[in-house]
Amino acid sequence: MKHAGEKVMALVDGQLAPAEVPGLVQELARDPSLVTELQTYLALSGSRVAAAFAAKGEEPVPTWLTDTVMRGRGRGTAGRRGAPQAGFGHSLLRWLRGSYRVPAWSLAAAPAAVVLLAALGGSLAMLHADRIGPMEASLGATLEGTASGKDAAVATARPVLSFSSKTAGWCRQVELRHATRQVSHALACRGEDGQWNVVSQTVPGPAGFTPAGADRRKAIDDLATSMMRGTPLSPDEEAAVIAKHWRPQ
Amino acid sequence: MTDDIRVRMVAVLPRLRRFAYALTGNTEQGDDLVQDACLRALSRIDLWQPGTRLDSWMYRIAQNIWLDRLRANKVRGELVDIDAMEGMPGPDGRVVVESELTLQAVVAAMDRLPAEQRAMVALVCIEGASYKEAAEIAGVPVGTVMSRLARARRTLNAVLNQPGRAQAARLSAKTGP
Repeated sequence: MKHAGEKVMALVDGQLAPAEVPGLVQELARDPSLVTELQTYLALSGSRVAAAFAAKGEEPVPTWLTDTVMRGRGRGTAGRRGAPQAGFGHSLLRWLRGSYRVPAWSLAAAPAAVVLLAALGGSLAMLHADRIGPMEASLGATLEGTASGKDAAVATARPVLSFSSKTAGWCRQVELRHATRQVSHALACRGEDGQWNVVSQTVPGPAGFTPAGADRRKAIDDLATSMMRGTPLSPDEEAAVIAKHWRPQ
Repeated sequence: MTDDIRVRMVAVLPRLRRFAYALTGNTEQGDDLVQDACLRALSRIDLWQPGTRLDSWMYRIAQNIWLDRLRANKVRGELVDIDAMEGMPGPDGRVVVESELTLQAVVAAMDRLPAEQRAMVALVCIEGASYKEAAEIAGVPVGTVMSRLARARRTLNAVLNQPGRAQAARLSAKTGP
């Protein structure tokens, strides 16, 4: 059963069943608060709001948008879809930087990070591009089942990006926040044996957008871009892949 | 795929652009959303059932892409500068109530709404969808459509009429479905 207020709204929207109108009119006569609601809905009636947007619906459609439908290819297709091309890396990196912010949780230290730091080798060079070997089991489990942006049990690893690589199957970019309040970045790919292996990682550095930090992150960004087939997985795609336990494509 | 479907899609574009603009509050972002929705629709045209409304199907696709993007930005830590939003010039509520709603005022007010409520306003108030149609597009019960719409309108009314209460209205709205 609809609440009286919702009936009032339905009345204003012309969607109240005719049989319900007389009863509502009586309620309006009895209840001043309903009249107030009626005034609210009339002020924001569909016709008034629609009138504000009317001109938008009458604007000419850009030719490129019509072409998108007729040809099945959109503006900026080379940059955002299909095989990576010259401009793809730059546009991806711009997108990554534009969509990335350091949230408040990033400064929270976690004891487990000390273990993780040791496992990943804090003394590596700024970018160690060789395959290092199977990751610490706890981080592997995190990458196996954690959606990008979600905190995991180890509390210091945050996957930020997932993609299908040209040669190494599924890969994920991960940000590691250490108990020392430092940050490092890593790229890991899932082997046929189901193990997540670090392809590359950076040495820990200060959190935030220091020039050096930006360079470290950029190195991982560039590597991910060069390895990526197509575009990063969308949240929906990533969720589907996780649900299927990263089954090979 | 027959050209007939493409032509029908082109016919939907003006309304789809308006819908996307209502969601994003920005012409360029709206057009990008329309493009992505069209490309996705074309790539999945076999999922569209002839005899059903093509426009509703495309609205749903556009809305889903938009929500996915919002969630992706959220999980990746994108921050909204609330202080900057508060500094935005607001309309004088007394004038708004007594005169026509301007596009700029409504867009600015809609920006204060949670995504799901904003989508309801766009579908029902702007695109003229019935509650039932909006429910089908959003994939929620009709009752949810009505509660989201009612809450959105109360918020919009508060924002448009009393700029000083904008923050409280937004916080109140964020707690709803």
